[in-house]
Amino acid sequence: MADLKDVAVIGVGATKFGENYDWGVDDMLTIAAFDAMDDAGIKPGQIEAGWIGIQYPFTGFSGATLSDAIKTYDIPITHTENYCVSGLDAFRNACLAVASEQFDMVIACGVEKITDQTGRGLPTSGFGHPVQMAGMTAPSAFGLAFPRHAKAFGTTKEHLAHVAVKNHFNGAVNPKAHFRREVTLEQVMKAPLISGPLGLLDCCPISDGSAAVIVTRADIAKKYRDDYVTIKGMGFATYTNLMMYDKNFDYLAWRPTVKAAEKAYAMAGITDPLNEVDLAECHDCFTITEILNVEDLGFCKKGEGGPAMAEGRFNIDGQVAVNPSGGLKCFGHPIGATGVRMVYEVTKQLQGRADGRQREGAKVGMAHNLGGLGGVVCGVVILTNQVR
Amino acid sequence: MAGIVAYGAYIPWLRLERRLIAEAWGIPGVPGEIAVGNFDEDSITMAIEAGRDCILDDPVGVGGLYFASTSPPYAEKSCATTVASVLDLAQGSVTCDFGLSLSAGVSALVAAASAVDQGVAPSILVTAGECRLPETKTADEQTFGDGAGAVLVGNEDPIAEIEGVHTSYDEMVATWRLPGDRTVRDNSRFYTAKGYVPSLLAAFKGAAEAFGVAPGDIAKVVYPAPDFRAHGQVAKAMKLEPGQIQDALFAFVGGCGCAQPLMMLAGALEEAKPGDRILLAGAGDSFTVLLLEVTDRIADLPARRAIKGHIASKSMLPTYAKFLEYKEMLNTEEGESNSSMIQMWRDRRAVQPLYGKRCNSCETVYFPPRRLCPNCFAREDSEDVRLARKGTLFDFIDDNLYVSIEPPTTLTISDLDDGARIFMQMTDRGVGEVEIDMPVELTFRKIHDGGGFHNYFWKTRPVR
Repeated sequence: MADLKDVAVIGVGATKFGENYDWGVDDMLTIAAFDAMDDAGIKPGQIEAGWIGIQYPFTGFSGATLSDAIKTYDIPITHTENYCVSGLDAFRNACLAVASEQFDMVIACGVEKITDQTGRGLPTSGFGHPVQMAGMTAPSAFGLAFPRHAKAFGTTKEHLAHVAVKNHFNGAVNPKAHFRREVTLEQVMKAPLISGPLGLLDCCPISDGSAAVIVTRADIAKKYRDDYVTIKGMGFATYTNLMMYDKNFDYLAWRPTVKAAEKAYAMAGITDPLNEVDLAECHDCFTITEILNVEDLGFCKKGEGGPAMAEGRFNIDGQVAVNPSGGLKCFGHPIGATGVRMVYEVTKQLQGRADGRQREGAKVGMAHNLGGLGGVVCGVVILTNQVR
Repeated sequence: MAGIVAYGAYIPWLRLERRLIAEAWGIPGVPGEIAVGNFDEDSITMAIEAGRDCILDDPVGVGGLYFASTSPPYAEKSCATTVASVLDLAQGSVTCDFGLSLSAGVSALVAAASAVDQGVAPSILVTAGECRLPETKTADEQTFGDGAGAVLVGNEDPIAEIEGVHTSYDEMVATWRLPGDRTVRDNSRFYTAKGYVPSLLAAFKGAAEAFGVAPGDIAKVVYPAPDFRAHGQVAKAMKLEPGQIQDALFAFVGGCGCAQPLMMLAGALEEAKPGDRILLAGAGDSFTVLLLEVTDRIADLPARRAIKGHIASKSMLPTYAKFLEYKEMLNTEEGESNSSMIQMWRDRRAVQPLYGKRCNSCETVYFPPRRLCPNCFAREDSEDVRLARKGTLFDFIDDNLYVSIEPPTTLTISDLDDGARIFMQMTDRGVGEVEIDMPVELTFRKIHDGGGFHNYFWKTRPVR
C-alpha cells in the first residue's frame, strides 16, 4: 500500500508569467501542460485524471477548462478553488489520488487570467458581505498585520523593503518571471503607497500565468527519469474568513501557516526547519506576509522576521533560501497558477536545474501557499530529491 | 397637548468656506461657511445622527418615528422605516414620511403631537434631515447647508409644553423641483417678497392673537428663512430685540431646508430656562406657528451634542472641487459594488440596529451573528445583543486601492465597549490622526449603491 511519501513529480511546466495580453486561458494551459508532459516524457493519452486550480470565474469554470486545453476527454478532472491556495490544493488532490493507487499518472495545474478584468488590484467586491466587508482589499487584509507586528516587535517599513530587494534580486535572473530587474531599498521605500506602509514595490504585480506538474508514484517515476522528486511532508489548514472579527486573533502570525507547517514538519520528521529545509517558495503576496511567514514556518523566532530579513538570512545563499525564484514579488500572483508554480520551482531546484538561481546542494525544498483576505487557508508541501 | 420631551441635532463634520465657491466662479462671495455632508452621508444618515442625539441611543419607550426631508434618498420607499430600524424602535412603532415642502419638519412635529394626543403612540421621535442640492454658480450654493434636527414628542416629563398651534397656507410656485431634477429651482427674490415674508408675518400675527401673547412675552422666536437677509427682514418687521431672535445658523451651517427650524429649536432649547416661552415656526407653502413653554424638567435633561457640540467639531474642505465631488456633480471613477436586497433584508438586524450575539456559555459578544460561538463553539446558545456604539481601535490601515471618492479608505478593527470585535471603514477623520488604542464611536453611513439601492452600514470615527 502506497502513501503520500511514495508520490513523485516527474515533469514540470510553466508559461512566462506577466501581462500576457496575447494569450487566453486556453493558450496558457496548453503551453504549461505540454511543457510539463514534455518534461516528463509522456503524452496526454497517458493522463488518467486531472486537477486544475482557478480562483476567478472570469478565468474559467470546472474541469473542462483543462480538458479543452489539452484534449484529455473522458477522464475525471476537478476544479479546485481555495483562494490563493487553489493551485497547491490541486497538487494536494493529485498527490492523494496517486497515493491511494486509484490512478498512476495524473496532472495538477493552475491558471489565472487576471488581466482580462479591468479593475484595480484583485477584484474583491464579491468576497464577503456586501456592506460589512466593504472596503477590504488584498493588500489591506494582509497589511493590517503591520501595525500590530510593528507595535509588538518594532518591525519597520525598511524591514519590509528588504523582502522586495531580495526577491527582485533572485527574480532578475529568472526567464519566466514577470519582473526581471533588481530594485534598491530606496526605490522600494519611495514607491507610491498602496495600503498603509505597503508601497507599489511591496505588492506583487497583476500578472497572468499557468503552471502544471505531472504526478505519479516513485516506482513508476523511475521508468521516466532518475531525478524525480518525492513528497516528504504535506500539511494544509483552514482558519476563518472572519479573522478581523475574532478576538482570539492577534495579527502577529498567520494561524493556518503555523498549523499547516506543524503537520508538514511532523510528516517529514523535521524538528529544526532552519537547518533541515534548504529553500522555500513562500507566499510573498505582500512583503509583510513574508515577514510573518518566515516566523510562522520556524525559520526564525517570532518577531525576528524583519531584522533577519535585513541581515540576509533568507538570501539565496542564506540559512534558508526564501523565494529563490523571485517569488510572487517577481512572478505576480495569477491565483490558481501560483501554488503549482511553487512546486515547479522547488522541483527544478531539487533537480539542480534552476539556472542562475540555483540553491547549491539543495536536498529539501518547501512550497508554502497562503490565501484569503488575510491568512484564511494555507498549504505547505515539502519535497525532496533524497530516496526514501 | 403633548410636549417636547427631548431634542437633538446633527451638523456634519465637514465645512466649506463660502469664499472658495465665490472664487471658483469669480462671483461675489458671502462670509462664513456651509456645512457639507461627507460623501457617505445623506438625509437619512443625518436624521439618524440627530435622532440618536435626541434619544441618546436609547429607544426604550419611543413609540414612533417621523422623518421629514425635501431631499430624501428615495423617491419611493419609506426613509422613516430605515431611521426607525437603525434606532431599533419596536416593530409596533408608528412611522411616517413627510416631504415636498420646506415646512415638512414643523408639520411632522405638529402631526406627531396630534398623534400622541390621539393615543396613536406614547411618544414619537420627529427627525428632519436635509442635503438639498443647489444649482452651481447661484446664490443658493452659498446659502444651502446640510444638517438634521430631531425632537421627541410625548406626554411624559416634557421639557417644553406645546401651548398652541396656529397654521395657514399660501399657494405659489417659487421654490420647486420636478421629478428628475437633482437641483432646486427657485426665484428667491419673488418668493421672499410675495411669499415668505408676508405669509410668515401674517402667521405670527394670527398666532399672537390666537395665543393671546405679545412679542414682549416671548424669550425666543425660532423661524427658518430662505436666506440670511430674509431672516433679518422678518425680525425687523416684527421689531424683535436681538436677544429674542434665535440664530438661524446661516453663518457657519447654512440653510438646512425643512430641518432648519428643528435645528434652531435645539439651539434655543439648549439655552432655555424654565418658564421661557418660545415661538416656533415652519415656513414654506404652509406657515405654522407653535407656542412652547419650557418646563422645570429642562434642567434634568442629560447632556447632548445638539448644536453647540456639533458646530465646534469640524474640518474644512480644502477646495470647492471636493464639494462638487461629494455632491456627485462631477464624473469621477466609480468602484464596482455588489449587493443583494434579499441578503440585506435577511441581515437587517445586524446591519441596521447592529445586533450581535452574546454566547450564553462563554459570554463572548461577537459579530456578525452566527449559530456557533466563534470562541467556545457552543451551538445555538446565544442571545441577540445590540452592540455598543463606542470602542477602542485595535488595528487600522489606510487603503488607497479601494475605489472611493475620498481615498485613502481607513479600514479599522475595533473592540467595542461590550467586548465585540468589529471590522468597519472609518469616516470623518484626518489622515494621520488615527492611531491604535484611540477611542472611536460609531456612525451610520452609506457604503455604496450596489444592486441599484442604497446600502448602509456603520462606520467608526474618532470621537467628535
